[in-house]
Parts: sequence; structure tokens; C-alpha cells
Amino acid sequence: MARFMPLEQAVRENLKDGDTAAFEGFTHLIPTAAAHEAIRQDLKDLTLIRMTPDVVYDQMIGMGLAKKLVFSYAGNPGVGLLRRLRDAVENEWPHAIEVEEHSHAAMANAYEAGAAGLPCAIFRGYRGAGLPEVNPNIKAITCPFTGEELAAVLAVRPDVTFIHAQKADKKGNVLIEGIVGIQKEAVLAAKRAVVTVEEIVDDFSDIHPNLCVLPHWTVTAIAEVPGGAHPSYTHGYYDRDNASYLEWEEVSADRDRFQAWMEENVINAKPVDFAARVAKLKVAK
Amino acid sequence: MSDVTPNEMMTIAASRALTNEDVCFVGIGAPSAACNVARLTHAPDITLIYESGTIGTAPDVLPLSIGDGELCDTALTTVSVPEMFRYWLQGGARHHWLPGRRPTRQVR
Repeated sequence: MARFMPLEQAVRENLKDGDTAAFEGFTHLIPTAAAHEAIRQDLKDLTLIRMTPDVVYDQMIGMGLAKKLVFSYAGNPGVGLLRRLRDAVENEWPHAIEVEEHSHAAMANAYEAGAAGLPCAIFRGYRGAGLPEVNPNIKAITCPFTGEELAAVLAVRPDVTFIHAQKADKKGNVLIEGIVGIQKEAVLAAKRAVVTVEEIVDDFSDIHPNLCVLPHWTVTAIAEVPGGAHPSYTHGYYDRDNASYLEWEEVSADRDRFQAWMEENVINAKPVDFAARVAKLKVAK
Repeated sequence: MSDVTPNEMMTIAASRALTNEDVCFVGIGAPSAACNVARLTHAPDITLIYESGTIGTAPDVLPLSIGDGELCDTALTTVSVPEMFRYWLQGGARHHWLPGRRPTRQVR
């Protein structure tokens, strides 16, 4: 049953050292404010799961939160590498990290299996790929009807999933519009779900009947954080801050510059600061 | 002796067993009647799900079928049939969601 609370409390109550956590949003609606709150709370030994772990996971890994990363496509989309992730893997800075790499198809199927309560996902993939040689969690299964060999991966079942969405209504139902990504599956697959939203409205009586809505009883906590996806974007509210993604290439290239940036923009910042960051990116309603 | 039928008594008894916190996967007939009696009396916030994909429905008239338009018109949201069975019924019934995050009852 969804409860409304400040983001600081939502993270404190739902994310613990050693948890398996997914912060999902497929380029759109990335829950940056929640990730920054996790960094401020100095959590440790997290297993972080994500399709396209981009800048926010680079930040979490660089700040030492992650014990393991389960992912597909590590990069800053359209820009280049994740330099903090690479520094952790290559040089164990700030400490060693375990990585489990998958394809997008595998991760999408694994989330869907998690949402469906299944132990694993079966799909046609990894043919001719080298990943099964380095990832023991990619296995093969034979179709009992056709004899075809298919790929199998474990279902994703996070302890907690964090997402960002456009709206919640006063009952705690959550509305997601635009590129909906894997967030519904990530929430339904998880034991707990924390949602940051742009705004809280009275009700959803005027929306299309087939929109992506998470009923209040699938959500644990909701925090209102306008701008909470920045530098990602929220369809209908503000645009993607592409300049910030380009800037990250420079910031993340140097350990000292990275730490100074994190100190100024994350450690000494608050959830409420996100609203100002998107002020110049707002779209006409 | 009243003219209340056994079916009506059963319907009312079933409705009294339901609460605001329940998430019900609802079958047509007496179960649907019981769930909606509960919703219209002591459990206004009960969540009713029909297999047509309608989640959080609040029909003004009892549906004749699981796919009456009334169910979609009054639903919080409506999903596809594969999603209904795969995530909302199978997922909820078969894995360890916290209490209140899975269909708590199948009223059939």
C-alpha cells in the first residue's frame, strides 16, 4: 500500500546495505534524485541492476556503493564510456566490483519473468555471442516441443526498485507516460518499490483507459520530487539535459574532479534542488 | 421465513469476508455480486480485477460478462489479457510479494 513521504525517508526505509536494487528508466524517467539520496545515505555492498547503467550508476559505483553490477550496455548513451565503472573494474577504485553482463534482450526477459513470478526467462538470444563464455548465469535450455536450443537467464527479483514517474494520484496510483521502458516489470518483480513523481494530483479520472498505471497496492513509497529525473527527462514536463551528459564525460575522467563534483552536486545538495535544474528545460504544456 | 435464497445468503456472507485492503481476482456470478456488495457497503476501496484486463473496476451495474465495457469504463487502468494472466495473476499468485501487493483473493 503506497505511503507518501519525503525521499530521504523513502530511501532510508526501503534500501539497506547489501540489498539488490534496480534503479530503472530507459533513458527517459531515470530516478536520479533517488540515486543521489542513496549516495548521501552512504549505503554499501549493493547489487545494482539496470538496463543501460549510465551516469547515475557511474556516480553510485564511483562513490563506492556497489558490490556487484548486473547490467546490459554500460555507457553514457551517445557520448562514450562510463569512466568510474571502468576505473572500478580495471583499477579497483574505489574498490573492486563484480560485473555480470547481459544483452538488453536478456534483461528485458529477466524482468518480465520476475514480474510473472517465474524463476527464469527463456528466449531466443545469445546466438554466436561471446557473453555466455564469461557469464555463467547465461544457460541453454531445449524446447520440449521442437528441440530448439534457447537461452535461459535467471529472473530479476530485486529487493527494491526505484523509478521516477509523471504523477501519482492521492490514493497512490502512479502514472507513467511516453517511453515506458521496463519500469512496470521492475516494480512488479521487486519486493518493495519506491517512486518519485513530478506531481501529485487529485485523481486519474481523465486519462486514457490503457495508460501505464501502477495501482497503489504495488507501490511501497511515493515521494514528490519535481525535476527528479534530471539530467534525464520527464515526457510532458522537461527535456533531456544533453549538455549535462556531455559534461559528465569530462567530470568523470578525473578522480579528483569527480569527487569535487559529487561533493558539490550530490553530497551537499537536497532533493528539492532538482526543480531548479530543470527550470530552463521545461516544455510547454 | 424470509424469501432470501441460499445463493443470496452465500453472496452476502462472502461479501462480509472481504475488506478494503483486499485485491480480488473476480469471477462472474455470485462472486462478482459479493465483491461489488462489499465495495458498495463496507469496503469502498477494495480492488477488483477481472480477467479481461480491467484493474480497479467500480461498475455501476453488475457486469454480465468479464469483458463488459462498464468494467473498462470504471477501471483505474486496463491491460492486455497476456499481461493480466502473466503479471497480475500468475506473478501475484506465485511469488513472494508483500502482503497487499498480490491478489489476496480469487473469488470464483
